This record gives sequence, C-alpha cells and structure tokens, in this order.
Amino acid sequence: MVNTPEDKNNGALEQRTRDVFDQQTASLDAHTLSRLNQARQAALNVVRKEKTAAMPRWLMPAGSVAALALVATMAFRFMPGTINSSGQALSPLEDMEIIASNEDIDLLQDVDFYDSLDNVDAGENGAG
Amino acid sequence: MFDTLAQSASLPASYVAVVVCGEEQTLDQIQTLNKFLASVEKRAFQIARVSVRDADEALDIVQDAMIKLARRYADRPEEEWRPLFYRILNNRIRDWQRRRMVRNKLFGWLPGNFTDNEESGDPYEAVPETGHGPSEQLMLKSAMVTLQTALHELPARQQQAFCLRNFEGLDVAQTATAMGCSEGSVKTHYSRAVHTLREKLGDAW
Repeated sequence: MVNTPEDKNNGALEQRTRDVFDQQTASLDAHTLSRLNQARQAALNVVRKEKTAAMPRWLMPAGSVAALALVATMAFRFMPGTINSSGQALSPLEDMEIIASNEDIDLLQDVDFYDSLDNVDAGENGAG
Repeated sequence: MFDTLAQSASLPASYVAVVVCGEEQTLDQIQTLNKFLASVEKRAFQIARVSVRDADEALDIVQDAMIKLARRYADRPEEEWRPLFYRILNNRIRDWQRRRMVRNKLFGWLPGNFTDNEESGDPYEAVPETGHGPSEQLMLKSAMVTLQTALHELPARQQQAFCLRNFEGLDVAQTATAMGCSEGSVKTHYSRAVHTLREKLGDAW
C-alpha cells in the first residue's frame, strides 16, 4: 500500500496533536493533580467498603469465635505454670491431669515430700 | 502457614485460608486498580476538559467515572478496564452536555448566566509547574488552545473517536467498545475527524 501525500500530512497532524496533548498533560498544575489523586482515592475507598460489606455474614460471628479461641489457646500455652519444690515447672495441663485423675487425693498432700524423696533416690542411683 | 495458624487456634485450615486469601486478593485488586486509574487519570481529565471546556466539571466527570468503574467493574479482568472506563467517561460527558443544553435552553436568555468561560477562578492555579521557559509555555498554551477549540467544534462522536484513538492510544476494537458502536463506525468517525482537523488547523500542523 502506497502512502499518499494526504496520508503523510494526516500522519504528521496526528503526531503533532498527540505531542501537544502529551505536553499539556505532563504540565498539569498541582491543584489538578491533587484533585485527581483525591478522586482516585475516593474510587478505591468504594472498592474497600464493598469488599468489607461483601464478606459473608456467617464470617462475622465465626471470626469472633476464632479470635477468642486463638487468644485462649495462646494464653493457655504460654501462661507461666506453677513451680514445684524441686524447681521444676509444672504446666497448668499437668495440674489438670492430677485433678482429673482417679488417684486418692490424700496421697497428694505430701507430694513435695515424695518429690524430694525421688530426687534423693535419683541422686544416689546416679552416684552409685 | 494456614496449617500452623489453624493448629494454634484449633480451627479448620480451610477457614483460615479463606479469610487470609480473601484479604490478600482484595489488597492486590486495590493496588492494581490504583495503578490503572493513576495511568489514565490525566489523559481522561484532558479529554473531558476538551469536551466540556471547564476544568472543575471535567474533574467531577473523571471522579464519577472512576467511582463507577470501581463499583461496577472492579472484578472484571484488568484488560477490560480501559475501554470500560472510557465508555463510562464518554457517557458522563454526554450526560453533562445534555444537561447543559437543557439548562441553556431554559435559562440561556438570562444575562450573564452559564458562560463557557474556562478561565474563570484563580488564575494562579492554572499556572503550569514545568521546567519549560516562558516562551515555550506560551507556545504550548497557544497550541493547546487552538487544538482544544478545533476539537471542541467537532461533532461529539468524531471528537470521541479522535481522542480515544490518537490521545489515549486505544485500538479500533477498544475504541468501538468505549464508544458503544461498530469498528466500521469508529474508522469513519476517526477519518472524518482527521479530515476536519486538517482543514481547521491548516498546514502549520
């Protein structure tokens, strides 16, 4: 296909108008740029709000329960346990095991004594 | 990661995955939309200003178009956003022009009302902040005013076709989507626009 002089003129016109338009676009004043930025943020806020509103309703209570469960689990895991007479840390879970077991609770009243006795035995065995 | 989180909270892993992935997807989508809008906002404003010849009205029109795109089409594929955005923009411009026409018919006989004077307002706000020298700025301003006048005198469809094809760089198919017409119509409008501008702007262009 051969370009006619008219095509060439039109091509030059298109290029020239594009250049002027681009230069004018690049030199927009600060006030206009600021307004455009505000307009863009307003549009993005619409998306944010709609996405939040679009979250399924069942997620709200389920999310609350999940958060509570998470907090409770973390607190239970990292809560400092009691320390027995030999300086060993007892986790709250171990306490629960003792309370829930079928052992006679009277035997547990002198638990510190039996515990120190165990340590003495262990020391003698280790030395022997 | 979801397994670890789910184990620590005694929750099903799928539940945690849905919540976390949903938030990440939303953030990604917002970032992508932000980039897209930032890439078109200046040209859209210029195109709207050529049509309505009022900077404040043009800004309002661009904002409306952005909000409508975000509200209605944010979930569409990114490739579809550009023609959709310009379609919304063109519809907004057309609505504005219709309202303006009606208003002028109703109140046009009143003295001093509803002029097309774009230069009203604080003149210092319109001073461009560029590195161009005064003479270059003057030439650019003069060239842009000449171009805006010539474009404004084009029929609306020719003006749209020329702006979208030449300034925004849309191809024929995208322009057809944006204008809501056939590709053949786009070619016809564009060709006539170039011909008319050639006559109006003369050989200096």
